[in-house]
Amino acid sequence: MYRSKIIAGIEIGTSKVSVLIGEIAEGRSLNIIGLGQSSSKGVLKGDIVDFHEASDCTHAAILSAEEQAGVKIDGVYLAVGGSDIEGFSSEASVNVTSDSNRVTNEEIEQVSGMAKAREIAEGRVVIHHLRRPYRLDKRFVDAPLNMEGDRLEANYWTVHGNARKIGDAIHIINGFNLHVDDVVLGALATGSIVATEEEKRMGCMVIDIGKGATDFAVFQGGRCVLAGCLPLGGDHISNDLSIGLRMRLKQAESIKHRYGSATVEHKNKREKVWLNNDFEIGDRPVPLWSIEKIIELRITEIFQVVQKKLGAYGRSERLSGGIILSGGTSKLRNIEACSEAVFGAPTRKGDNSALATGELRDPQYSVVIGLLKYGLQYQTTGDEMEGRQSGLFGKLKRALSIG
Amino acid sequence: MARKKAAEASRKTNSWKDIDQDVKAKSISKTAFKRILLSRCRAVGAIVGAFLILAAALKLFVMNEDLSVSLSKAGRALPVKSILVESDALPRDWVLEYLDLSGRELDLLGLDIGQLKTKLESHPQAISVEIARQLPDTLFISVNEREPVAKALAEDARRGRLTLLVDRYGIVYEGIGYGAKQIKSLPYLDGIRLRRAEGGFEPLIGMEPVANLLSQAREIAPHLYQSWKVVSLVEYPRLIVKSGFVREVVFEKDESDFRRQISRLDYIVDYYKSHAYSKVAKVDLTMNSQVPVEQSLVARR
Repeated sequence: MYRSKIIAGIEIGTSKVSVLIGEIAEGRSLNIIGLGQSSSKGVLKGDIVDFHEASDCTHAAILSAEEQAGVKIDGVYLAVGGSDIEGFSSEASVNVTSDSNRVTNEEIEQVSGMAKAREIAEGRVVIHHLRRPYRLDKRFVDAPLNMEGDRLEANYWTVHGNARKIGDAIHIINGFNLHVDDVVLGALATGSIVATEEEKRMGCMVIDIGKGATDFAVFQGGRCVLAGCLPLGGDHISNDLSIGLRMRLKQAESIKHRYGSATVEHKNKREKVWLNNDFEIGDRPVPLWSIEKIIELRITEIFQVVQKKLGAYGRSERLSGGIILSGGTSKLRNIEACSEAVFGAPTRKGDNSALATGELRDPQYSVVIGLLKYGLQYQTTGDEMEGRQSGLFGKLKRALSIG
Repeated sequence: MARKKAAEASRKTNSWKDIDQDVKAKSISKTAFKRILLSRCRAVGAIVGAFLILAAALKLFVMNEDLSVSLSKAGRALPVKSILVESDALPRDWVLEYLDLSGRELDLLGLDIGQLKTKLESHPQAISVEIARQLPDTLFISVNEREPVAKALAEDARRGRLTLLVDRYGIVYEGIGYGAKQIKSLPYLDGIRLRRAEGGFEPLIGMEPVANLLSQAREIAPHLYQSWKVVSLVEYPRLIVKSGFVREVVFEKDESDFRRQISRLDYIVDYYKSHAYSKVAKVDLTMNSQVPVEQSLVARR
């Protein structure tokens, strides 16, 4: 007998903390039952800089989501990002030793283990091992079992982060007496919801541009092969506008939302818009061209940095499925055109209509919805929650113990 | 060997899963502390609630045991002191005799009510029966009976000539408890064929129009109905009524037209009586526009 399980996707972002609660019924279907949000405090460019403030706003969002859903959360899927997230490629190879030259299960396990075994620096922890296609005698194969060949090679993209920073995020959740079931890179979670299976198979990239950081994930052959994070986001655009046009950060944020465009639409430099638009003392006209130009330059730079990080994976012929933009900053006008100009690949804005309706279709919720889908997939494969007790006694035990 | 080494090396690699998720009390926020407290209170409440429910269930079980003991004691001390019978014609004594309830001590709770009801309902005169225990010592029997509309004669090898009653649905039965005056007022049925069935006779088909004619005559012209002796179905669907003043009245079996036919008959009877006729041989009401009247040869007084 399978009981329903309540999971939560939590994103502790630079601008806000989002908590989405889903009920996994019969281990197969996901119902979204609660949403909680709070303004983020103690988080800078995706990194936690004040544990207590970050705890307070995260716990408030969790409590709000639980109250809306009317249930207690069983497990958490936590999105991570931030400036310290890095990745590297590691390879290993073995000779196929069986008499018939056919690849055995043991050989696959051996080569995978060797590829994942590369040591990482002190103070770093692995978040994901993303497997790329195997190579059997230089041929790319997805499942080499029983295939004939002499040499089998495995290649993994290992995503790792600062142990203390990830530990801080986990401990914030633990502080609410909740257990983190899995830690997922934001872009990976977003990719699972905004990119279609066909796009992932053809080769596509998901870029999640948040307020303080930008996550990206490249999918090829239906799986994620590269993922990373940049400490650049919508905040930088506001900052540029504030400095370039001599205005306060709040005014720059407002101007960005009202008139922002990722490409220059208004060529006439005399065309101006009012800064506050309230006709009060201090209000002044600002050239529209300048606003758009500043935004265009910064967005282009963000995309160029992403492209640089991708290396060969960033070539347009390897992204025939296109680029899918998500996150709050992706709501900027003409951002698709800017992306197409940099990457040379078709670009669209992602939406969450596959799993969500109404308010939740907004790209700012892609990460948390993606986390729930990630959780559903784990439920289906059944390899999480080792050692956790379910049922009445499990609940009682969890309720009566703090740790 | 190489595989073992790879596995060992893989284990050495730090994973986020190695991060200790044990909660230190000082890292718990106020909100979380409240939630934990509430959660603990609920858990304790659930345990206490479960204990109380268990205790209540146990108490109920014990009480139930006591109740069943007292009920069985009471059952032995509930003799039937009176039997109330509610019926139209069936006499109380006959009902008690038929149900084998007379002349013996009865236990109110020991009586099989269902069996008694089935037995009484099997008698053709009863349509439905209700039997109920009225604690502490009374048995209540209510019988809903058939209403006879005519009577029929039958020959029985053992009992000789029998007068049977027929209700509006053609059910034929030996009437029990009816007064002689009531039976005498019913007209005889003629031209019918009674067929024996298990425990009585088969129902007569097509009896409803006859019942309607008789009930309407009783309502509209009771003075005419009183003189109706026989209703003959020999020429069915034409209904022939034999009476004192008019020897034969022929009715059309059109139920919606009975009222008009009876009114016409009433007029004709009045007319001939006022002209000092003592008898009329035949009145045929089956023709719409005309009514042939056959006068008796010795009609005029």
